[in-house]
Amino acid sequence: LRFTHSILGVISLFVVFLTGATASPPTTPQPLRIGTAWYPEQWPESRWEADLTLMEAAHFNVVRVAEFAWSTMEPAEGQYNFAWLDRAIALAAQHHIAVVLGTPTAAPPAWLTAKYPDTLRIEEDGHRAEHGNRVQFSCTSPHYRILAARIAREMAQRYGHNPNIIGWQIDNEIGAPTFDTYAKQQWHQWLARKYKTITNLNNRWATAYWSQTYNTFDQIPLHSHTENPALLLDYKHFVTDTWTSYIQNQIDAIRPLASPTQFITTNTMHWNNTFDHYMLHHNLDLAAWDDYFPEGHLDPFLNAAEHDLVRGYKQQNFWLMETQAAFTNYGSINASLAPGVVREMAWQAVGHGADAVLYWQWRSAPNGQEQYYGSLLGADGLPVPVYKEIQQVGTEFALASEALAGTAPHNRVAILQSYDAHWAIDFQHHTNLFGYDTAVMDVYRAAAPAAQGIDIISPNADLSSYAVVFAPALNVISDSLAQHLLAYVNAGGHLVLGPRSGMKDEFNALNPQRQPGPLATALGAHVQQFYALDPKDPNPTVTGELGTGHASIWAEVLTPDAPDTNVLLNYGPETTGSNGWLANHPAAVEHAVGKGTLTYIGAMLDPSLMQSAVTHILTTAHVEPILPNLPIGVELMPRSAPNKPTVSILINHTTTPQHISLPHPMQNLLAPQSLPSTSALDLPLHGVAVLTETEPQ
Amino acid sequence: VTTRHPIRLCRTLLTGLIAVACFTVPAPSQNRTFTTKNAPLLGAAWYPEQWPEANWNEDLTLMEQAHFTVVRIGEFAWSTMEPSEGHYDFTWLDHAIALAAKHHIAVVLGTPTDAPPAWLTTKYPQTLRTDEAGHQAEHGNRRQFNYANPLYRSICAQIVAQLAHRYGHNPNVIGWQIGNEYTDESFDPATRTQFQQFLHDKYKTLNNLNTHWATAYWSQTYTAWSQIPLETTHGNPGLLLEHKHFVTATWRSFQRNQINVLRPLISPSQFITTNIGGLAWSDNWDHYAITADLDLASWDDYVGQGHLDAPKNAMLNDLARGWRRQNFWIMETQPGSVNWAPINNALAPGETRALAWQAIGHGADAILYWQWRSALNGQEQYHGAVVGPDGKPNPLYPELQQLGQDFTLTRAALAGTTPHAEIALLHTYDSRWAIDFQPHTRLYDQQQVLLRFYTPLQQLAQSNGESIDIIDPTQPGSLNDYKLLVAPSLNVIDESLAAKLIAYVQQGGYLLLGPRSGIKDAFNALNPQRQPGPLAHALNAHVIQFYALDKSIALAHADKSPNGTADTWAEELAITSQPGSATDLFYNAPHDWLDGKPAFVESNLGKGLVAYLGTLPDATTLNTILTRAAIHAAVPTSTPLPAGIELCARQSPDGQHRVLILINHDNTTSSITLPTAYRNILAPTTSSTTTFELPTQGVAVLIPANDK
Repeated sequence: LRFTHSILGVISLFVVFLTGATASPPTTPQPLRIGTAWYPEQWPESRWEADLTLMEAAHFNVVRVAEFAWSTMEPAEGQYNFAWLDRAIALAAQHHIAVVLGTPTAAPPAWLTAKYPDTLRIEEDGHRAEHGNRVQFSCTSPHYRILAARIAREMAQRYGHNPNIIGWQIDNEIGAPTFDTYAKQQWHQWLARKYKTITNLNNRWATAYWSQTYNTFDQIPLHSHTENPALLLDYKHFVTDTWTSYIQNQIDAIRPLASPTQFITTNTMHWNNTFDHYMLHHNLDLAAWDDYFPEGHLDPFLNAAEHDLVRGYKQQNFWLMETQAAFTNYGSINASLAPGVVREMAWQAVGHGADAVLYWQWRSAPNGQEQYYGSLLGADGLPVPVYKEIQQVGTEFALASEALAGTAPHNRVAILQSYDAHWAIDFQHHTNLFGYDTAVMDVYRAAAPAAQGIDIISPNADLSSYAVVFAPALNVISDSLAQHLLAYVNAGGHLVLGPRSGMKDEFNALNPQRQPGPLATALGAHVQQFYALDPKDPNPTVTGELGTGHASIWAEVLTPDAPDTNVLLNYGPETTGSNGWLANHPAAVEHAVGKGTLTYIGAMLDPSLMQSAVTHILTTAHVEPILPNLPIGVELMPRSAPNKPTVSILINHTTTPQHISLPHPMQNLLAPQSLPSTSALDLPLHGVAVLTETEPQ
Repeated sequence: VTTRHPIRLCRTLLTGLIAVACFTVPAPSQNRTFTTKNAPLLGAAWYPEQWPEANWNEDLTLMEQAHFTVVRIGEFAWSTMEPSEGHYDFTWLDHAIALAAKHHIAVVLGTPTDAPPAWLTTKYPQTLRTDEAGHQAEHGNRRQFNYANPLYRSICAQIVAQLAHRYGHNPNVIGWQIGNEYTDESFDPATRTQFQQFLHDKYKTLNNLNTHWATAYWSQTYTAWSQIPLETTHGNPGLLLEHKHFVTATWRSFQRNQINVLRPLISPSQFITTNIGGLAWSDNWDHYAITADLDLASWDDYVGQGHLDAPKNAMLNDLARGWRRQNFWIMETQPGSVNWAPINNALAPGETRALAWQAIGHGADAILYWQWRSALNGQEQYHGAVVGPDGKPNPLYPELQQLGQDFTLTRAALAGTTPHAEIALLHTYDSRWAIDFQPHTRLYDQQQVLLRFYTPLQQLAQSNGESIDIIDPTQPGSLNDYKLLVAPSLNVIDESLAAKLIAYVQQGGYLLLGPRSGIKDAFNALNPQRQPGPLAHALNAHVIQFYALDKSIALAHADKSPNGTADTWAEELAITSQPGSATDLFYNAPHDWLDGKPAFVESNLGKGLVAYLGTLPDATTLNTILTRAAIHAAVPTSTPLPAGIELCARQSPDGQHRVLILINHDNTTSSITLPTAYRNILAPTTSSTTTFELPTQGVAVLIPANDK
């Protein structure tokens, strides 16, 4: 299997297009899984049995293995050593622990980058990454893709039908950029493919501005900041396509050799907008992400939204491929989660659609950059205090696994999350106080208590099942997206646009209509002018049928154009500072469109007004809480499936114990020894109940 | 300008010789003891090369009138000494040294290797340093040289040989300073190769290196020495620690290159030092290793912004005294203000003198002001100076003159004296580095942590007329002189250090380990035992888990009554076997992992005691813990001195002759009563008494009433 690398020079491009075919996910409901990242290559084989015994004692049923083990699997070019991995997988099986195999391409061995230095990535400032850390590879290097596919193929050949391998993780937390010559070359070819002619590009990018006019595609710089907004947006699209083809390269190596029951995923990071995750996940079977609170304090609303975001990548359940065993090592202080919060986070993840929770990490390597990271075992190989809490989670997962198998959240409220909008605002935030993710979270925090379940999805997703769809800061609205959204409203949906919506088209050019651009006619109103608000000025008051409160950070003055446009909120009469432009003008309007309603809220509202406005909108759309009167911070997360009783996970995120009355008696699966059913619950701090409508069979 | 040595040395030949010599030169003066004659000396950095010779006499006259006894000369004068390659001009320096002698001012000669001339780096660009980002330094500043470059070393050896030949037996030259504030390493490919060679020499096999660095992690596994990067920030902790060892070895060989030239050519009475920058605290390299080859440690004591932080400056002086475990020099200190702080305010009247006396009290034998006079141009025009651009005294001059008078009055009493300590703080650069590579919380400031322990210990010691030593227990030298050893964050403890500490305790010592101790071995790998690693067995206890704290938490007695608070870092301790016994300190933190867990454990071992404190308590609680440890260690405790009063004691080697230095750092007049009568030799006309009143910044130097 040696490769003649000299012929690689003629392979100039390696961008693989989406094939469009998603492999079918496994059909049999899988048990709820709990486990950890395990690095047998870091330890003598004599230690493995002790590790796996301790895992089994914590009811672990999955480990992720090998995602950084390239130098152990292929110690020299073309010389493979998988014997140790064979034995590790077999030993895990003996302990009833399934294995997810990671392809090791986030950490190429020293021999590889020494021999093929063109596989090293180049930073935007021109520095070449070095061996000694990780993610030193170039995602655009054709060489690297060949070498990555080769190790993935070797692994797939060996383990593609191993019954203890349930899935594959490609690479690890992808996203490190490169600005090497391959990237530049591919960028130019990508642009040429998209725009066909340089004139077309010049028109779309309006390059007469500052004489940016390009004569040829290869004049176009590859930069990630301080460029023409159109270039920057296309850069993000190029990055998305590059990472998608980078992943596809390994999918293509593994899929033909792997059992259809083995899933293929990659683990992504937090609210990360390096690339479009909807595009990236198209050809993966499963979304998985790494959930960390480095400062040691859970924000339950943020974490809920992050789960919902990841669930939205493929609009199906997901995995928590990594989460913290009490603390991390990359925060500024790295305080520990309090006792009970690790369990609270595990159940919250499950409530939002996670089917597996894996802790990072089992045990710290004796040396290496993450010695201080939270782990389940100490340096002596014995449990640290958080082990017991995770063991409890393991016990509980086993109790609830059968009831939860095959279930998923199903929600009637959606929030649209658009990478184009996120990027367009990040490139030109206009005020550093405006954050796209904050705009999304403001709506999420306000809607979560009433909705008791929210989907966060791509604007291009099928919207027909939703009673209400919120689109905070949907900055980029192309004509085709406008048509898609209008079809939803016409059919009876309620679309609520937030501030900054509809300013840009898909080329990040200004829409020739005022905001919300191609939706302005349907709205029967338009944005007359937008204003960034100076926090030194008093926050303008806002009042109307949605409630009363204040705007801050951003305010748009709306002008109704149609006689039946209803003004929902007006700015108050104050004229201090730039508020003078706002005084007494409309801040929010709604307009009936077909069988539905289109609403536009032009300002960032204070939390209480946002709560009032969102509740009003949800009530009007007959979205009612399943379990009414829950205190804010007590979260209800139903998971359901056809022909199965709904399972509701109830968590007390508040700082005090809570007494919860249920509308009718329910069974708490975590307390099987208690009464068969109960109509009231006492939830301590971080308390969790897993409720079913009827007794499980 | 005369050409003294027309025969040029073959630089290529030298390059080869020096490269071989880099890591193989034996330590020349590890155990050399040096005593400064006529201490304390007072002086300034003087740059005659910046001024017409006609001005010199006026400068030296003003110095003599301020009772200055020493000047440092020459450390940036390479372009004047060797205006073009091989053309030397030392006549000006001959004149300057001779004129200083006429004014009874001795000279310390600096080798000028911190600032190579333009012709040198133009002709030999490979002598220029490359920073970590890959940029090559340029002429126009200083420190542009590549510390690892063999050619630069050979050129340095030539200029040093010239100086040593000429002044090595000049009776007015009392010592030598090599370079200036070693700073700024190089990251060029040749230095990288040297690093790889350094690792090869140390580890012998890649397999050995891969094992100690656990490189299976992230597939870092090295299959050739040439694959190993030279980097300082994101690397494997094993690599980062070795880079520090390499930097230390490289500066040490850079320095030895010059020592080896000087030593055979100079009089045995002339000392060799280097002035250590970084406010004594910088940890760019191991100060114990660098000063081991010198006769004398010296450092540059600057306050920068604000005012004298007396406990901190006391601690830094003690740290400097600990590098060689002997008296030291303040080679530079500020006359009023500096030019590099965010706000370069001046020290208050009297503060400069108080700072000088504090240094003397902690073992300094010389105080030199930087600088005498600002160059008319150059990067430091705004730095504090003794005289103005017109050459006339600045307002601070009379204060320095008073200091000169002070030194004259006390020279006889202070001769041959040094601070003495029965308590030592343990400090190693390996531990400093290991924590700073992986602080885990930005709140863990090691200087503040050391100061938290130092401050109460110093209070305790000074009330007994004792000092605090700060020492590296891995260095040669006995620990048995000390009754109490306190190691606030001894992060790196390998088996050999553990054995030395255990032996100390078994023979009757008291060892108190602080938080973060013993997690790492000498390769910055995790010890396979829980903390304190190889000392856990001796402690009969270990750390169950460490936690970074983002807020303070309560501490309690065994009966749950309040016992202060702790912050920043907390470790849960557990007793593993009797006779270990948790003392009366527990965390009281409801809903926290630490709730009800021990924060302190003490255990008998042989004739002594070993204890572990897993957190950073508030000042009062820590003071209680340390006082208790002192009592158990048979260190006497006396009534604390009034706030702001510092008492420093220096004594003769036999302990029979003692001098007390009293300083009032407080902003009000304060008085202190001593158990027996003393005489203030700064006020020769006053009679002996037991009570001394000191104004703000006031200083008294006391000898027992019955001493001469």
